[in-house]
Amino acid sequence: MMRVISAAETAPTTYAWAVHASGLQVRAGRHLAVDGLDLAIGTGVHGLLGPNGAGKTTLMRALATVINPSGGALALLGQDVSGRADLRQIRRNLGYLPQHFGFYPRFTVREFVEYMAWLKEMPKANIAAAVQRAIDRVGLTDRADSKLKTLSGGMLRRAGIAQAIVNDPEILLLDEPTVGLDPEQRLDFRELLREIGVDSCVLVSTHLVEDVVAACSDVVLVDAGRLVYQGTPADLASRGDAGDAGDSPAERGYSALLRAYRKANGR
Amino acid sequence: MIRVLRINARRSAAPLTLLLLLVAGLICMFVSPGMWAEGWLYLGTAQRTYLILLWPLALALGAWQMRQEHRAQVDELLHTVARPRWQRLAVTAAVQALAVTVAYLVAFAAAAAWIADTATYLPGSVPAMVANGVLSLVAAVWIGMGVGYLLPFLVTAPALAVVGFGVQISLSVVFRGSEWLGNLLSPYMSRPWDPYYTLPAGFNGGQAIWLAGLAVAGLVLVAAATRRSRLTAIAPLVLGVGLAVAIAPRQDTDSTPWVRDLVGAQMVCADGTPRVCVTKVRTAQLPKMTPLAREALAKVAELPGAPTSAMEDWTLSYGDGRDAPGVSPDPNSLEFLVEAGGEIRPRAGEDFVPRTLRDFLARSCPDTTQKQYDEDQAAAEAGGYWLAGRPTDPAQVLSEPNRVRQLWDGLQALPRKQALQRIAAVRAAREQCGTSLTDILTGRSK
Repeated sequence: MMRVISAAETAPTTYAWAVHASGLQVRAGRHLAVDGLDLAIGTGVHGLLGPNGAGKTTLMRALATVINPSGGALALLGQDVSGRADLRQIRRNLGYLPQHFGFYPRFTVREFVEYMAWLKEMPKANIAAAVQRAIDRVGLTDRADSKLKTLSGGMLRRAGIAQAIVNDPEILLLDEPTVGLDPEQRLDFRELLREIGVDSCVLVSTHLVEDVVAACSDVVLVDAGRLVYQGTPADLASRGDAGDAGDSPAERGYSALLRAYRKANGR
Repeated sequence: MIRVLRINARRSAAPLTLLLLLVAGLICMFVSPGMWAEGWLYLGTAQRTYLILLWPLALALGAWQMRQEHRAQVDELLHTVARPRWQRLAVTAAVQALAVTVAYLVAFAAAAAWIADTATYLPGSVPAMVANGVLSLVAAVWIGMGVGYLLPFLVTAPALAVVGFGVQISLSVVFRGSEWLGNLLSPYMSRPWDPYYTLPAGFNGGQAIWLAGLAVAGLVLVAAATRRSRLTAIAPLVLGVGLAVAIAPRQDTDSTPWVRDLVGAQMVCADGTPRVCVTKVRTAQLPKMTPLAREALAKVAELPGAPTSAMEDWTLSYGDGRDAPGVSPDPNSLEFLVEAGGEIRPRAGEDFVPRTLRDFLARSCPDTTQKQYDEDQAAAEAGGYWLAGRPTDPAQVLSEPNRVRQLWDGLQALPRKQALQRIAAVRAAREQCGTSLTDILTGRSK
């Protein structure tokens, strides 16, 4: 696969972190779901872990520019996004798979991905090839011309990933991407994540510690809207011991970190 | 962009809009072709008349489009894309507008194909009527989208259809006394009384501005993201109404938007003598009318001062402001009516000659009693049938058949020369309302 690389794409970045949050506050309705979060992540695959209600989805939505932060600072690709910033340039370089992936049921996979490519303001000349590549990468080549309403849950998830990656985003945000994928598809998906993480910042929100260990270069653990821990999967695994809850070293490390954090904060 | 338009055209609710409006439009048109078969003017107006149903349907379909958009739950995802929201919705709106345009024009074309070879005279106001019909549907589907976006409920589409229907009905009721205003603001258009009418350019222009304002208001509702920006939709509405009312001419006499089409009423004459002419509107009927009119002329040739040519009488008398500007009848011309009766190819009237000769003898006196009027009519009919050389036809005569027959028998019993003298006297008495035509015909007075 060859394509023309523009000068802008090879130019060195002017920012240290793709995502940089400090003291970030984000509301989910009236509730402050993200409350004083500090986070800096760059190129690579980052697994976002945390219990239900930890603020993972709210954080993802803020990073995806769906909701404005209500406090603190947030910079994406080196540009401040709080307030009335012009998000257009950032959004061209974003890929997002929401937790609840809405779609037009009568569109085919190819049409939907192509439509999204247009909405992401991709250069017209690149769209057809980029669409085919995205569909190939998620393994939907033979269903490319099927209507979305005829796809199974797992296939829909993959179509959702295809639209997220079609513009080769610099920040890729995937909220629960592995829901509905069978074990084989999950393996393929991990492979895809590693591939994309080579030159992009990928943040994957998930419940599944094993996914993070297998596919991520970095673990981000949040609880009650704050950062609990950031490190490598190997380090995470080393944090637990036999007494902690979990079936694997990483799960035990996860339990141990959460318990210690909650104890330190009196919860 | 073209590909995105094509995807939207295939996968949005636009195909449904096209299908429903086209089927409904064709059903309306072809349920009663008599409404429009006579010519372009009636075709243009008939299609506008059916907007009373199609316009609410377009409103509902616009709302349905946004209901589908809402149900897809794509807001979260599409909120994160670079392209502004209005550009995305502009594509959806454009595709819907295209669907209603095609539906309206195809229904028009289907009917036009039927009458294309018989409807010869195309008034300039007809293309304008069609254009305004299209514009009204575009406005409807966009207003529907705007309302459907604000209220994305299942009930919105049907409720909007009912409201759209109700608004059109109430416009015609509220503006009963000034029909031009009701017609100006409503997509629905009332039918002219006869085919020698047209709409002034100022009326069509004003209406186009109002409908464009309505369409823009719909777009603003669709594209505006905040409550304040939605309020700006009021501006094109107010501006549209204001300009339309200012531009459209008032027909003060009877408040209708229709004006006499003096171009359509120009005479077109057949080759040969005696001269036979019909209006431009009726050009297609000329070959059929010519021999009949000449036959009628031949029947009166023996009368003193007999007419030497025959002309269509288009100055239909309603006895009110709708009457055509007074054109004094040419004394040397036999006037006749052309009635198409809603047919594409009207049959030559069996009783054309006696009917025309009846009108030749009949008179219209303003202050007459019903009895006197009936008697005058009976005399004219008896004379007409006698001149035509035919017995009276009880099925065709307008007066009391026995009375007409009695008068006809009286003429028949006379020597031909004497009968002709009496008929000439009846004709001569047209201008004197004090006399009785039956008395003249029966020889009781001269």
